[in-house]
Amino acid sequence: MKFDVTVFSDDLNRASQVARTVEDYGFDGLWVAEAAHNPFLPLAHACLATERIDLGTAIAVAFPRSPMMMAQNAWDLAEQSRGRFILGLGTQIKPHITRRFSAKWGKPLQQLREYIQSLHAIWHSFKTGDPLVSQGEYYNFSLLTPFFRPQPMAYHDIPIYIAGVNTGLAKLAGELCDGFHVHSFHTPSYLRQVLLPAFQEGRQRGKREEADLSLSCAIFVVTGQTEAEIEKSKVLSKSQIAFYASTPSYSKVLELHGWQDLIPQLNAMLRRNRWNDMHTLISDAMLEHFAVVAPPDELPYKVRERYDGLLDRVGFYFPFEPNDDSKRIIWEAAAKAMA
Amino acid sequence: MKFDMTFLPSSDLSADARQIQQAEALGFDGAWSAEVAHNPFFSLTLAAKATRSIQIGTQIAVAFPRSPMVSAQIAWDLAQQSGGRFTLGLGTQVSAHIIRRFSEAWTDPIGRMREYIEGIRAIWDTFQNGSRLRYRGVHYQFRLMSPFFNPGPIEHPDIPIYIAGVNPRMCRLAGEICQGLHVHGFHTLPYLKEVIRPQIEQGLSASGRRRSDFAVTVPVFVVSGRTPEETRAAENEVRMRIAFYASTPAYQRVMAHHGWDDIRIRLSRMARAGKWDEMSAAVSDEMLNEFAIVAAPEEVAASIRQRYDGLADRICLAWQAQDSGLMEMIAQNIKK
Repeated sequence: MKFDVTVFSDDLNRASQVARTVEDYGFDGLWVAEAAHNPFLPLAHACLATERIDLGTAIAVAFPRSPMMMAQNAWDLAEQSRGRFILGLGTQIKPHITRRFSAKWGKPLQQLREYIQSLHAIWHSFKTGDPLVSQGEYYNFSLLTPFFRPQPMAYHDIPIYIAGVNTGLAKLAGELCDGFHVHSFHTPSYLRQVLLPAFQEGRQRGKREEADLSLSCAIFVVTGQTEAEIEKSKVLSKSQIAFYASTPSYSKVLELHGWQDLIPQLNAMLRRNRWNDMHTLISDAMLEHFAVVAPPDELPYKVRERYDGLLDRVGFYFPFEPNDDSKRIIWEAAAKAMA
Repeated sequence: MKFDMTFLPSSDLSADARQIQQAEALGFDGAWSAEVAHNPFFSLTLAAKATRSIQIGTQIAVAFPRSPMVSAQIAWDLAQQSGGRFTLGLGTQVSAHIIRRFSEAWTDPIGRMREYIEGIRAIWDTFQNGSRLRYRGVHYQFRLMSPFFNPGPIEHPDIPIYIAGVNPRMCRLAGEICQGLHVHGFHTLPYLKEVIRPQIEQGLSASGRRRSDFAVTVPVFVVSGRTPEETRAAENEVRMRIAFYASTPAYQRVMAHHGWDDIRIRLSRMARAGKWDEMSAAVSDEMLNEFAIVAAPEEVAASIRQRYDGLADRICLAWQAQDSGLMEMIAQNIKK
């Protein structure tokens, strides 16, 4: 089982250093999330500053960028990292695509399917020099002249992961992708009973039953060295879980456990601006399904125990910040157990 | 007059960044990357870390295949990282490439570019001042932002935007709403004076700005060399470039301005027939001298100044990656 960290990079002049620190800890991968900052710029630094760790996006938002640009970004980073780059993509949700990015949102599964097919077609053309042809409802490519082609290079098999919580994306991943970023908001039961069968169905549809799909997830963890720290960590995790639980897209996870009554209760609190109290609706019993609760030195073992055979790559839900002393013991314990 | 260098990002990102460091050491004022076969920003972020004073920017990044939000965030990150040395240079590319290579729509490029830039500025205002994001155009609408997606204020928020202009209306748009215009390398002095300059002035006038508020960057084709062989090679390369541009419809206005339509038609026919080698020969010496600076290395800077004085604020020279010796010679004479 691989152990990764997630970074929300906000200082490009420190990106190399952070990447090197991840590698020095002995961890396996560094994921950059796309929120307030571009996720590819820090990876350019990380590619050149490291030699061993996997580097990727978890996730980069697909639709606001032409597949051609995404393909070039990935090609460049795959080359600079000598094949350690993983392109992790996400659809985001409709309001953000249309109102924050002012980009097109059609039927997201079909659009993402064509997006991925376009990436494969473009990389094939980069690799072989064959004319670029890819047609669909959302994307059509028919031109690529020599001046605009990057050179062929050794690391042309670039893995694509997609991120999601529902079965549609899981099936698509099984059919077309190399990996899946399981949403932190999941339970092992959901993973086993809902997602794994969906991956398999996708693999069958794509006639690639034996394909290895790498499953990755940043796990909610509750941990600390003092009572106060643990309590704070618990409230934070419960708040994060409550936030996702109130979102319609994630209702299937709750439905599996019969907890769907939580949804209207959480939304009622939201409407009354009681965000700070939402965590009170998540019981300790419920928490155990969504998060791993343990002191720092036991935490990585408990995570491994829970997800052995289920996930290939794990991380923790909070970002890796090497200068945060309060978290250092957690990273050191993880390094000891997993690296 | 500032002297910059331009380069095409390569498969060797470290080398690209080193080139920019070298340019800074030689005294170049700026370095511009072009978006062709590679991401144009990767080399700039690496260079930003390794340099102190040189201006960095794109000449150009293709606008439409990226949401303005994506471009706005990239520029914000690079402006912060470089301490305010980044310029966002955008271009429309041409319709065939936008539609068939990027799978992007091509409608009303001038109107869309205007909104692209206005959208970016609205977004930057939200980043810097926390203002409510509310931009409503025909092509773009931005009406959603939350703290999680907002990078917050930076020390140098006034990021210059330049656009590339071939079409006179695009030059006018630049004068109206941008901080600069990237003139295309395929230009002549008369075209710059008689077609481009008036458009810039009209644009500036429309927005009540002065010429000093604006930067005209001009890439210059240079035929020069330390040996006859080097000069001959440079001349062949420049002739090929001129022949290529002269044969394409996108740049026909320049040819028409000089009454060279018949040459354009002949070159176009040769291009369609794949007769690339014959095309260079069809470029007359008169054309070569109009489109390029032909001078000994120590004379290049002075010849450029003489031609472009009062017209260009920044001159861009294509960086000779294979051998920076020539760049050094030219650079030495820039300082003089």
